[in-house]
This record gives sequence, C-alpha cells and structure tokens, in this order.
Amino acid sequence: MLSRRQFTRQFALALCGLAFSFGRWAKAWASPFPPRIQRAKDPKKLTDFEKQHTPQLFMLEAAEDGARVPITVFVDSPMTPDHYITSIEVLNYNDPIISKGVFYLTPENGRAYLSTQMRLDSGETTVFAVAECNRHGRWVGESKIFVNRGGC
Amino acid sequence: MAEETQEHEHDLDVEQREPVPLEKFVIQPPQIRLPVRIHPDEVIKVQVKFKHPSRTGLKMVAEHRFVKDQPAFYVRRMEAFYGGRLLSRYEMTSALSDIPILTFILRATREAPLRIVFTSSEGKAYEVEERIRFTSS
Repeated sequence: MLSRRQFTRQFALALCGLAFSFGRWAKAWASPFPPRIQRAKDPKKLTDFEKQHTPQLFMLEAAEDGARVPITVFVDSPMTPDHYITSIEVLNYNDPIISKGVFYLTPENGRAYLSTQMRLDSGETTVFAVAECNRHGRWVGESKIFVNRGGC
Repeated sequence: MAEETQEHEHDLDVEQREPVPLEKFVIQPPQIRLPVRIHPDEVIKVQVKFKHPSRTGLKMVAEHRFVKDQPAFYVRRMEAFYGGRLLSRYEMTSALSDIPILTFILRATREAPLRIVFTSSEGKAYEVEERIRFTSS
C-alpha cells in the first residue's frame, strides 16, 4: 500500500516521462521529414561524404510567375554501379500538389542531375529535394524562393 | 563549380509563356536535343522538350486555397531508353509547367539509339528517338 507521498512522487515521475515522450514525438512530427531522412550538419560547409549525397538546388531567388519556375537539382555522387543515386524527388509542402515528381536514375546516367520547370504557389516558400542513395539512404537539400504570382 | 553554375544558369533561361487555353492547345511530338560533338564515354546533357499542357485542374478560390475544378491533364511519365535498356524514368505530376523541357545526363558509352517515351494522364504515348553517334576527332 503506497503512502500519499510515495504515490505523489510516482505520479509526478510518470507525468514527466509522458511529457518527455510526447515532446520527442511532437518534434518528430513537426519536421516535414521523418528522422531517417538525413541532412547535412552545415549546408554551407559540406563534408565530402555529404557532398556525395546532399541534393543541391539551383533556382531563382524570386520568380514573377509561379506557373513556370525553373529548377535544377544536382547530387555530386560517384554514380558507379555499386554507389549511385537511385532517385531524386522535388517537393514543396506549401503547394496544393506537393510533389513535383520523382526522377529515377541508373549508373548509366553518369551524373545525378535533373532540370525542369515546376508550378509553385505565391509567397515565400522552401523547395525540398530528396535524393536516395543505394548505399546510404535518403538525403534532403533545400532552397528558398519568393513567388510573386502563384501558378498552381 | 563555376562551370557547373554557368551550365545551370543556361538551364534557368526558359522562355516565359502566357497559358494557352486547353481547347486551343496543339500537342506536338517531343523533341530531343543532343550535343553536336559526342566522344566515347563522355558525360553529355540530353534536353527533351514536349509541347504538352500540364494542368492541375485546380481553381484558386482564395489566397492559398484551391478547389478541384476540372480533371487534371498532364504528362504522367517520361522514360528514356539507351540502346534498348531503361536509362531513366521520371514519374511526373501535374505540378510541372506546360511544355516541359527536361534535361538529364547520360554517359555515352556506346553508339546506340536514345528513345524517349512520354505517357500522358490519359494514357496516350508519344515517342521520339535519336541515335547517339560519336564524333571522330
């Protein structure tokens, strides 16, 4: 039989444990990407390993017309038969259609590179690119853009 | 890296167009653009242009609020075959622009045909083929 003091202490400990678990869960859900998608520690100072996996996005800083926004995605991967980028996906979570498509590659491509034109909604937004490596999983890169007139 | 940046700037220079009403849009076969000179084992850029609309079918009813107005009509997939083998595949969405110009890279390991197949959201297929030929240096 627990005393009132023991019960209060155990109840408080249980509450702390719940709050801690909830906080971690909430943090994971708050991110647009689950923890298993990797990103460079410092996007401005990539290590050689990170350069081989982190997608680099090339876009205008501002676009007048969101109906045609050019984008180029490049990953500096070796693209050899045993170490290559298998896919690149471009996403924008602020748009009604989030995915701009998935580009699947093979080692015969020689380089992980894609250039296309996408539709973006108006306003300031972050475009993400997720590259999947056959050996080292998925990596994300991002770039911000301001779109004057939406094109969705 | 400077050379890469220069190449990307060229890719970014895309002609702006006014949207053509869907009923007036004339779909034309895709076109491939390859470098003039290709050497064995060289990494080359392949540019593919397809005069096809890409419409989400959404209508904006308020800022950042959309409703479905019409069925989406767009290019669903691009497949590239090099010497009969699948080189790349692009699963596209309606969130790409009209008349997409896609650029990807190919390591020219052999003289062989490069065939591009586009499939629309209606299931229609459009093809174009060019032969990769090495330039004698």
